Amino acid sequence: MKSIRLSLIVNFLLLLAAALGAVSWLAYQSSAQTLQGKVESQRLFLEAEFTARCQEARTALDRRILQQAQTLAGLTRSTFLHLEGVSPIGLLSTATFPQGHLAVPLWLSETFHSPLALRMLRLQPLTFFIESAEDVMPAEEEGRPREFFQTYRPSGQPLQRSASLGDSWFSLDDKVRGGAHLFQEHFDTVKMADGLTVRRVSLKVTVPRFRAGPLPPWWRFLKPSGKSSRPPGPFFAPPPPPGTFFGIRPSETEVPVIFMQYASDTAPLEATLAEFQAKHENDLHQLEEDSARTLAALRQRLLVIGLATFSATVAGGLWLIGLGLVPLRRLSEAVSQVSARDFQLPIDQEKLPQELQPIAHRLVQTLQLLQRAFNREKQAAADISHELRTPLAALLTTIDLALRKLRTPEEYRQFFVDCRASGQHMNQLVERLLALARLDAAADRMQIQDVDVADLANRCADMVRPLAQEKGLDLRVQASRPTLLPADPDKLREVVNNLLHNAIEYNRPSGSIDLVVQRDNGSVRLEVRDTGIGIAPEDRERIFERFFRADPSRQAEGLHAGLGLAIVKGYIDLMGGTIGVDSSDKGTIFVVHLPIPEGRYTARGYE
Amino acid sequence: MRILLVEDHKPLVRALRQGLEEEGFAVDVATDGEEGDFKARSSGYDVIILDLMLPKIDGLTLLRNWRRAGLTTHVLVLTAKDTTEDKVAGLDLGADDYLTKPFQLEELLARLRALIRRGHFAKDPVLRAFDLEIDTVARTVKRGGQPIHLTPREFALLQFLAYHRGKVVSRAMIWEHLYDEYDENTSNVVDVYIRYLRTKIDKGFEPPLILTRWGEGYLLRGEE
Repeated sequence: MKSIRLSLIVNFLLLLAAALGAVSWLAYQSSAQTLQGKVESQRLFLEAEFTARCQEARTALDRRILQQAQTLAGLTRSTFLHLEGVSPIGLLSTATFPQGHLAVPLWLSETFHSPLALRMLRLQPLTFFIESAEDVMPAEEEGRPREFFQTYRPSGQPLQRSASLGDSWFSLDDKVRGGAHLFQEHFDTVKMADGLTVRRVSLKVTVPRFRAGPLPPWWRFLKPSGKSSRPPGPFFAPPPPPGTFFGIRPSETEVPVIFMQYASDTAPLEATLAEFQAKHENDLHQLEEDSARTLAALRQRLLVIGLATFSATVAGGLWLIGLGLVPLRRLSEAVSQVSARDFQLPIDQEKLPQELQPIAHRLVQTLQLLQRAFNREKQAAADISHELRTPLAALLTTIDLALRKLRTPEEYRQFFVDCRASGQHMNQLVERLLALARLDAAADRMQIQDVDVADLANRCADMVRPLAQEKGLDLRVQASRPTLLPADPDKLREVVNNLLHNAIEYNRPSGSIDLVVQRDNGSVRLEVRDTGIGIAPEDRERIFERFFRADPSRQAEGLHAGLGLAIVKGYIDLMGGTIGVDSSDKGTIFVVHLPIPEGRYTARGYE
Repeated sequence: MRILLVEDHKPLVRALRQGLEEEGFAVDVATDGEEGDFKARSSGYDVIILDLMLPKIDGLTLLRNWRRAGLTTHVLVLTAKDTTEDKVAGLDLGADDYLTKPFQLEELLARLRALIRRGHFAKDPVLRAFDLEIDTVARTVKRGGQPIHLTPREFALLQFLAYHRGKVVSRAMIWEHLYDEYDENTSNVVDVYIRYLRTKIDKGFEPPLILTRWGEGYLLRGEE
């Protein structure tokens, strides 16, 4: 069984679930996307940070080794490898200034730029070494040397190695040595023989010249032209500006340079980097986890909210639907309270909602119709009972009377006559009621014969003529030509008799009655006209109803009980005809049309 | 006792009239509401038997109008309408009794007698005065234990006097209540029947019960 409430609720729930689902999903998606973006940017950030940190660590290492290299570079001394004996120039020069045996040959070699000269001066090539280099080096860690250095002559020959190098050697790449980046550091990473990986910086170092002390002023005059004055200064002059050597365009053989390589074990760096990596991965993982957790929490929250909203809305919706259906319930209660007694709908139509008002209005109308019909039925029942009971009372009273005391035969006879009359009266009434009952039950069977309507009309007129004459009424018949019709003669007779009786009964004194039978375009037309007081327009429709009497308090000779015309109409309908009534205060006319079926009687040359 | 029968069904009217007259009632008949209204208002009846389904004016309307006009005559409604609603309607409009058709004649007569007693506040169906006993049901009279035979007219007259016992009833009253509309009014008739009554009731008995008040009427001796 369909229920408005149920279907409303179900549909509403579905709609709500769908809506909530959609909204939740959308919310989740957009949140997830936002979160995803955030995570992404966070990840990028972490990446950048990681990269930066790694870079920083690397850079720090590089910087440190560079710094160490520079420190060492600063500590580098130029010196001759050894003197093969003392040269005479040397001796001479020593006499003139301190450490002249070194300074003079040195100057000479610089000035004359010739290896030959050097040989002549019995100088061994210049060499360089770093004093107390090992002091700069950090201590070993866990038995393994951490940092290394190596220096090279400009030619690329190794000069000095750190103790930590042990038996292994670095090498200096020719490209680096000969490269354009003369004074830029070059970093690389090298794997050593024992498998150690080191980060190495190679740089060109200009070594401060060995100096015998401040030059005497008269050296100035011996200077080759074009030279700028040497700066007087301490033993360890700061490195000359790059690209120049005391004003002389530098070349390899002139500028005392060495190559320095400083390397540091990258293990710590690797460790740090690994640490960073681990942390990074950890961070990423954490990020993932957080994001996942956030999403999960979001899902959960959405779910909870969704459920809560759903429940609340369901509850609210149920209540509201219930509220909305209240008028319906009130209406249905009102309907159930309608009793057969008063046919009233106990509800205030004004207070009903718009949608229900038409229904209520119709209901009230229908109830009114019902009431009227009901009253009609009640009235009809009362009429029947009255109609039957009155002659019955007459009959019984007559019998009571007859039996009260001993009477004469003549008296008894009269009583019998009276009883018979009452019996006949009741009989007629019963017949009419039965006729109506049969019509109702459609149990009537028509005994169809060929009936001459004109003849039948005449006979009926003859039968009622005495009655008409008794009332001073003039009965005229106009039915001279035979008019055949397949019909049930008894019923037709009943119709004519009824109409005639009515015409007699409802007529004026000295009035007239006209009975006409005619053929009329494929049907038989029967007319009964009287000169009575007429029937009011509003009653004209209702006179064919059962027990309807135009004057409700009027009771004719009890014979008709308002059933006559009902029977007439019933029979005419059964015969497929029509009956109409027209009336004025001058009289009434009933017109009956009975159709002649197609194709009959033409053979008889019928008019 | 005079009765107005308002009923339009002629066979029933005939039977009822005969039955009532045989019981000593004087009966007037009206066959439609208009006639009934007119007669009810113009003559004094002991009881009006009223059918409800009448031509011209229906019974309930008549009843309502009568009561509103102050007509106090007893009304017995005699009708085929037998539902409780109908009975209640009839009684509440002022009917004194309600009898449905078909009915037993005996019941109607008994109810009429009861209504008449009620009208005179007599509870005992046997009217007594001194040693006179009038059985209104059996329609017999005894004085001093001795049954006395009266004609219906005589009985009616005696009963009338007995109901008005101790009160003077004029000839006109007697006439009105004992004779129907068709009887010829000769005041002498009343005197004649009084004389008949006296002969049967008072002769040979003490004290005399039927008394004359000159210029006023007659009365049955009441308690002193």
